[in-house]
Order: sequence, then C-alpha cells, then structure tokens
Amino acid sequence: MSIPNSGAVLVTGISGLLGAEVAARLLADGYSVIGLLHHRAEIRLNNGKALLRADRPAHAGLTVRHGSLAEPDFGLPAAEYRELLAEVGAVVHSGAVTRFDLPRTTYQEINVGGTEEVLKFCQRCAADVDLVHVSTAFVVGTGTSVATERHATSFQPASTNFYEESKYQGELALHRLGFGDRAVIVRPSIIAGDERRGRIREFGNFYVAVKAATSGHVSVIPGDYAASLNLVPIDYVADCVIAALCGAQNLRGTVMHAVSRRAVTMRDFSDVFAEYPELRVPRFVSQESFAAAARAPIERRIYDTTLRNYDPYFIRRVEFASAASERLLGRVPAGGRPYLRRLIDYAVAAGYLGARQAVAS
Amino acid sequence: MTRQDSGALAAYTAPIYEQVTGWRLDDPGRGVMLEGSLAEGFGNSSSDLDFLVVLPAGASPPLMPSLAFSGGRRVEVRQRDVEQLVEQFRRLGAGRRIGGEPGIEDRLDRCQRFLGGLTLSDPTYAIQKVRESIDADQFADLVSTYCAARARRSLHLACAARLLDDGPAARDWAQSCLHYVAKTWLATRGETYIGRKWLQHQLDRAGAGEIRERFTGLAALIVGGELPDVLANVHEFGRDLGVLTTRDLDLRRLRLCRIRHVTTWDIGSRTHIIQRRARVFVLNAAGARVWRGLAFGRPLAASLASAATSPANAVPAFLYFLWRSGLVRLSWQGGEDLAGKLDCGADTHVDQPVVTLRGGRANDACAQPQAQCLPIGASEFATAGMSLVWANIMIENAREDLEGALDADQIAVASWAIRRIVRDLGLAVLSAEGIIPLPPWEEAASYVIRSPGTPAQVREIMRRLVGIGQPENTTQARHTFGLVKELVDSAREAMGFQEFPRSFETSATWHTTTDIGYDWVRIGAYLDSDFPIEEAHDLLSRQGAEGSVRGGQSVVPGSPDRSGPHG
Repeated sequence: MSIPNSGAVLVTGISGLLGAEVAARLLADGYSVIGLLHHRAEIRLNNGKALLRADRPAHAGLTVRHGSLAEPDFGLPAAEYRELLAEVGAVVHSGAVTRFDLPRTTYQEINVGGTEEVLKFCQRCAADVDLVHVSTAFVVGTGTSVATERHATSFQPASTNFYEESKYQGELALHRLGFGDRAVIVRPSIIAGDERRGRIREFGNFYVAVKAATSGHVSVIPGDYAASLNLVPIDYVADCVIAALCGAQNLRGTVMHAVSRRAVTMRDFSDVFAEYPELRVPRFVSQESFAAAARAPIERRIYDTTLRNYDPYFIRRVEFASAASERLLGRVPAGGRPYLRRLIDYAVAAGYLGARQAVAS
Repeated sequence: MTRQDSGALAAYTAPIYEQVTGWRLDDPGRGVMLEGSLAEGFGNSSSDLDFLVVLPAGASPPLMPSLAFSGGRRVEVRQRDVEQLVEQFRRLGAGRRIGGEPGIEDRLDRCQRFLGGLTLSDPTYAIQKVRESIDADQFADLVSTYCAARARRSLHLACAARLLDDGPAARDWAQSCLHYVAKTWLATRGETYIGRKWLQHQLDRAGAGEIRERFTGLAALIVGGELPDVLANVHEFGRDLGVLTTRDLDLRRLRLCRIRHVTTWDIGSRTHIIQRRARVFVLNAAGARVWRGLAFGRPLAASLASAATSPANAVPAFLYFLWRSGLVRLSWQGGEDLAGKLDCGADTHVDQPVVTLRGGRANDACAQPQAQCLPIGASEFATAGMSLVWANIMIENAREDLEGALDADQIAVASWAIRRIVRDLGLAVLSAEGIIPLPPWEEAASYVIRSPGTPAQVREIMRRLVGIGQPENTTQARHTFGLVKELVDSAREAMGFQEFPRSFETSATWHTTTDIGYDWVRIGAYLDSDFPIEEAHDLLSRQGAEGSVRGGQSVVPGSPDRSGPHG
C-alpha cells in the first residue's frame, strides 16, 4: 500500500463498519489515522477486535476527534480544527446515515450537509488532499437496468428513498464544490459479511429485512422473483477504498462500483432459504396481490415498521458495471448463491436468524 | 492350534492343496502360502483353508478365487503375482485418513493375511522377497490407527444411538468400540489380524492378563448393564489403553448438522422436505414443529431438549428416522461425520390420494411427529400438484362455459363443456394419484375407469360420466349439468380435493385459486418440473394480478375453446 500524500488520513464514519475496516488497513501499513467520531467511544472491526475502547486507541497511529458532520467545522473547537487542517493529507469520507427509516431532514443534514463540510475541509487543507468519497451504487434509483460507472451529473434518478436521494445529492455536491474531477467516488452495493465466512460485526439493514421476512410471522411480501440484490463483502469494499486512496492521484474523477459479479435474485433467496428449516419463506407477490392479501395484525405491523422500507429492493432489477474496480483490484467477488449461503450460515450460527425465531413463533 | 504347530499344519494342508488344484506343492513356478485363521494359529474344524499362490511378476493371474470343498472344509485358492502383492501394500498409503476411507478394512485384511500367512513352498523366494519389502512395523501402525479410528467412531455412534433412544444399537456400537479398542492395543504388539472373531484368542496369546479380564467383564456388562454404565466403562477401558480420550464421551461434541441438498417447502400449511431434488417427505403437524425447531450446528441434546412436542419421548425416534433417512447429519466435533444412510423409510404402502391440493397427505391427528416418504419422486410430486390444480381450474372454466352456453341455449357448446369437465376430472384424479406423466386428455377418463389403484367409487363415477348421452335440448342439457355437477362433486370429495373454489366466480375465489397454486409453482420452479402449460406458471406466479369477471370474460389463457392442457 502506498498513499501518495504524506500526512494523516482523516476517516469520517470511523466507527461504522466500513470506516473501521479502512482505518485498520491503514494502521496496519503504518499510516497515521485520525478518526472523526460523533458520539461513540468505541470502534470495533468486523472481526470484533477493538480499535478504540472507552475512548482509548488500541493502536499508536490512531487519534480520534469527537465531532459531527452535521455541524460547521465538524463542531470542533477552532484550534483543533486548524490542527486537523495542517495534519491531514488524505480523506476517506465514509460517514453517513445508512438506515432507511429516518426523516428526510436527517439524511439532508448528515449525508448532504456532512459531505459539504468535508469538501470545505478539503478546500481549506494545507495540502492538496486526496479524497475518496463513499457513496452507494443505488444512487441510480429505479428505471435503470444497467448501472454504469458514470458521474451523477449525467443522470437524474428516481430515488426510491431518502437515503438514495441524499447520496445522489452528496455526489452532486462534489461537483458543485469543484471536486467532481478531483475525488474518487466508490459506490458499494449492499455491504454484507466478509467474503470467506460471511462474518459481519452487526446485523443491520439487509439482515434486518431478512430476519423480519423469515420470522414466520410474514406470509407474503411484495416482490418479484427476478428482482436482484447485489450483496458485496465488507472486506472487498474496504480493499476498494484503500486501492482508490492509493491510486488517488491517477484516479481523480473516477467513479467505481464496489459490487459482486453475481447478484442474488429473489428466486435465489427462495431456494437458498429452503435449505434452512428454521427459516420461513414468505411468498413474493405483485403489489396488487399484496394489497388484497389477508394479513394478521402482527404481520401488518412487521411490514409497516420494517419491511416497507425495503420494498423497492424486492422488485428492482439492476446490474452494476464493475470494470473500474476490476481493473484496480484485479478481481470482483463472485457473489451469488454460495456467498448468500455463507451469510445465512453465519447469521444462523450467530443466533441472529433461525432457532430463536422458531421457538418464539 | 498355535504357531508351534505350523509344521503339522503344513503337512495337513499340503495334500489338500495338491488335490484341489492339481498342482504339485514343489512346482518351481509357484510359491504357496496358507492364509487366514488356521495360519494365524486360530481356527477350528470348520475353518476355511485359504491358499495363496504366488506367481512371478507379470503373470497377471485372474483375480477371482476358485472354490472347492475337501474333507468338510471350504477351500479357496487365490492367485497373485509378485507385483500385485507389492501394489496392494503400496495402496495402503500413509494412512492419514485411514479411519474413514471406503474399502480400507478389506485392503488391510488382504495385506494382513499375507503377512500372517504360513509359507508352504517358496522355490524362487518370491514370497520372502515380498515380505522383506514390507515394513511390518509400519503396517502394524496402520492397523492400530485404523482400529483406533473405528473405536472412536463406534463410541460416538453408541452415544448417538443412546440419545436417540435406540438401546440395542447403542449396545452393539459399544461392543464394536470395545473390540476395536482391544484390536488397537493388540496391533501395537504385533497382533494385526483384522477380523473380530478370534479376539479372545488374540488377547490370550498376547498375554493380556488383566486387560483380558476387563474385556470379558465389559462384554458381559454390555449385554446386561445400564446403558450409561456401559458407555462410561467402555470409554474408561479405551482411555486406559490410550485409544480414547475424554472428548470421546463428551456429548456436547455430538452435533446436529443440516445437509445442503435437503430443502423445506410449505404447501399451504403442510410442510414437506425434498431430498436431493429426488424424494419427498411429508410431515404431519407434530413433525413439522419438530423439524422447524431443530437447532442445527448445536449439540444434538439441545435439539432434543428444545423440541417442544408431545409426547416428548417420540422425538428421539423421529430424529433417528430423520438421521437414518439422510435428512440430517450428525457430526462429532473434532472427529468425523456420522452420516445416515439414504433409506426412504419402511412404509411404502400407497394410500390414495398421494397428492392433495395442499401437498402430500399426513396424519395431523397423530400426536407423534411423523415424516412419510412419498412413493413418487420430487419432480413428479411437483408436476402432479400443479396438474391437479390446473385440471381443477379447467373444470371450473368448463363449468363457467357450460353455464353460459345453457343461458344462451347453445347445446353444442354445452355438450363440449360437459365433455371437457369429464376428461379434466380424469386428469385431476390421476394427478392426485401421482400418475405422472399423465395420459393424453382424450384417454384420461377411460384410464381412470381401468386403473386398479383408483378407488372403486371414483371409477364408477367416471363410468357414469362417460356414459352420459348428448343432450338434445336445453332442458336435457340442464338436467345433464345437474347430474354432472353431482358426480363431479362426489369424485372430488372421494379424492380429497372438494375444497377447490369456483375459480371464476369472483376475484376472491380467483385469489383463493392462485393461493392454492402458488406454493406448487414455487416448488416446481426449484425442481424444474414440467408444468401443464407455461401460462399456468406465469398466471399463478403473478398470483392473480387480474381477477375474473362473470359474464363470459375469463382470464384463463386460450379459453373458452381450449380443450385442456393435453388437447
């Protein structure tokens, strides 16, 4: 690994799954990392090891600044902010709100406003900082069957939720503030467990939807058997970010998808879930049939509070180009059913899916 | 007989060899050995005589032995050349995985018989040269390693059998463990005879003393003792002889594991298991509760404890069935897989119907968990289910056409609709019986009439339906319709699909129709089964995005003129 600029690497969202993995890789190679931490006192890697525990770094190369993307100058005291401007040589902006159930204002504040703060910081830095901006492959919204690695300024998506909308607007901000040709944009698809074992630090988003759907309380969800979900391993995404950072000088203005070669369709989900007797598989039906279906109150509640947020993902069919990341890393993870099995195996073994649900139901 | 009697043995067997083979013992082109229990120093008056004729390298003799009888004994003569003998030892390899390798016991036995054999004649020293090329100590290590692996596996299987309430099997496995522990100890002292028949004699010959006494005592305990004591004592014996460890009796290590090609499918509320996309097991309600509550990857004891069903003592027997049917796997953590065989269960009688609208038949009234292997394959099962649904849809479609034709005084159309109803009913009956592939539509009714497996009542109904004459006017047609309706309803009730809705009456009944078909479509897609027609797949997988409107409009593809899926 060789990062062009000297100086520390600022990692926003360092306590998040991706931020922590990126920081760990940088630290392992001897780089100084400054983490922008909002309110947590702990940073854990995907394998559970602590990078920061009770505000104490587990690595000499790591320092932490407690601030907020939503505030001007990250909410840091002026002197601290000036120090940061002098120390930082590169920025990995992975801090964002990634849940689907929050008010629009929260996404605007953090994902758009926070990005603007990061861009202002980069403009003010003493050095000509390299910037890797972590977005999402789903900035393309719906209506696209093949998503190419082109800039957000070249399309106008129909975003399916506030999250996708805010990430798209975040990318537009890059262009608006002069970083369109300077930053490297990494767009991961749905980040899931590591490639080899399916291990994941915490079960969020995709896993939450799977748990709700297979709980045995949900008989039917609106979906299309041909709909596809591209699941990508966390370790591969972190490797993409690192590779983008190392090649930042030559990759300026590049957009790259961090995705798996093969998505999993709802049909794949149906067939793979059938291998786990402890999981109940709902029916995937059209929106009209879903509306007409008789559902118990608990099922309605689960849908309204959880599954509704993921509706678009159960009907969307989109393939993601991956030429840029394949060129850079020399590979793309295979994905598909074998990877899905590893994810489910891990979640079942960890007790997140399966046995407890069966007893409960 | 002991090895000191080898001279006497040679003198006794040599003439028998010559008599049976017609060859002279001192033939310069052949070496001759006596193998087996008599050569080993065991045996009795009924023991076989096993001769091995050793030929020069490259002779490539036939591998099948020749058999004869002499003086009340069975005589077997095998021939091998020097290269074949050396090769059989070479194939034993390093023996790292020797415990689980298929056919290894037979190969060890062949090699051991050679090493333990008595040379009767060796004119060219071929036998001696082969013996000298073999490291006897290494071979003894291999036998010891093999027997130790068998001992561990036997104890693990005894533990599994005990947890699954199979006392007799647990005792048998405990005995196997005892034997292989003893065999392991014996092998380290050069006693490598593989068979278990002469174990006591081997122990005597090896001067086992106290070990021999413990062995005998344990053999008696296995027969009459309490099972926990049996396992604990056999385990202790194995530990004392350095063959077993504490881990080998730790029940937390016996894990219940899933098998990848075993999948679970609900049709309505009926749970089915499909194995290797080939076999179908249908679970009753109690069985389904246990099946879905299994804790894979955790100790077997945990699944037994958490399976909330009544009567609780039926769960071990059910799990035993699942294991031996190859639907679940047992694994000893840090050890080996204890895979079951792919038995399909003993119950092969055919209760008609085999297939219902909601899957295979199961006895939910039985409190004990059950899994019934169906007499038809998985793909046929899925096709039969889809065909049953589709045939009923066709009946309802024809009924709708008939009603419309009667309203419009269209006698010919009404007659055709009646004809369709009867033939599609035939297809429905045959589908419920699992007769896949179905006969052509034109032959469906007469097939049912002639089918000995079809209930007599249904055959009689079909006979009457086929015999119904052409109506000549609307009044007769209405009368005929009433009779047809009555007979069809009776047949449906007899075959168990009377719940099929009037599909085209309202959107609700259409929704119920697609609801019945949806789960069949899902399984059929997984198994790449044949669907009656492609439209059925699309229609039912959309689960009735369009409804049906009374008054002649229908969304059934190709209706109302469609003669049926086989027309």
